[in-house]
Amino acid sequence: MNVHEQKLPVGGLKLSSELVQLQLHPNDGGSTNRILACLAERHVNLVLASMDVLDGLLNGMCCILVEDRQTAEMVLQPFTGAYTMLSSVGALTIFPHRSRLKLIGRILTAMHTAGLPVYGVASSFSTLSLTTHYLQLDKAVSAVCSVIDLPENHAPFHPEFRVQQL
Amino acid sequence: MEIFAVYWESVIKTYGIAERTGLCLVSLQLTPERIPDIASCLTHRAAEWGASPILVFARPVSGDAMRLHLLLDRPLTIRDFMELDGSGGAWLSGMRIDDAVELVSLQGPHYGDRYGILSAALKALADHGTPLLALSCAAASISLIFPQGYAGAAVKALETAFAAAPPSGRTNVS
Repeated sequence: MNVHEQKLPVGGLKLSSELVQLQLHPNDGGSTNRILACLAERHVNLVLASMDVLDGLLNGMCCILVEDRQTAEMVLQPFTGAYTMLSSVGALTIFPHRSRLKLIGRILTAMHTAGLPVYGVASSFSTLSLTTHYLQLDKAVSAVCSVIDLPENHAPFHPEFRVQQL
Repeated sequence: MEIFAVYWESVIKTYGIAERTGLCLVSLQLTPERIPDIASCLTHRAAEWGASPILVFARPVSGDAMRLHLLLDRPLTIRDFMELDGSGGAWLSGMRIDDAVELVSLQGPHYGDRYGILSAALKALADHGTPLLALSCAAASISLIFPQGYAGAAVKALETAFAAAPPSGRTNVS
């Protein structure tokens, strides 16, 4: 980053607990729907997801909690070849992104410059999440914090509590 | 600390289902070596577009490449990118621009922590034969992108699986 460029203000930054990323191989949509239905039946939550249809085939990724990995592997046995699992993954979430292309460009550059992989990106109207190697999350925080300006007295990056549906 | 939530819902509750039309979905192949060029374009010159990203999402392709998607609030053309690209257009190969796409988004309580939410949405769309272009789920939001003319049908399909909060729960943003 140019040292003269100002950091971009954001409201906050949060880190996920350890995740496993499921890479969904190209399919007509049917197998993805069945995979997601199987995970739902076994109460496996998708923490984040990004998918698209390219040339008529659905491709995508989604993340589950690492403690759900065994359940997912068991329930997804009929879908061998339709997906691969990537671990160990962590998500870094920035909010709000305030629809700034500049913020996205700078964050991607910061991650690239620090030699950090970006496995996937997901967003909502206000949040921007990217996944990287879980053990490199702290390094990712340093890289991203070189281009963003967090408020003083920011809450801890790591989650203090977790909601789980029974 | 762990908090357990129990939802007894015959139909999943949502805070509302919103539609937005007239958007532009730009998709491009992002390899590590292209990140500096593309990021520089986004960082320094994209203001010339006058477009703002509503959503940004990406999924892995092969090796360490990603397919990056920008859902923008105004139409763009390949020409816009050619004019902004300082690398001679090297990263324009594999770019795709879908004009006039439509966004349907829904939010709900603890959606990011609950199982079965995205599955319910995709099942409703599949049951009604509604074609999907892309989706991104983060925090408590599901964002679904459709070709032109399908947002209304998508909302109707989703209303079979999700119950909007009163009074209307459905808002038109465009």
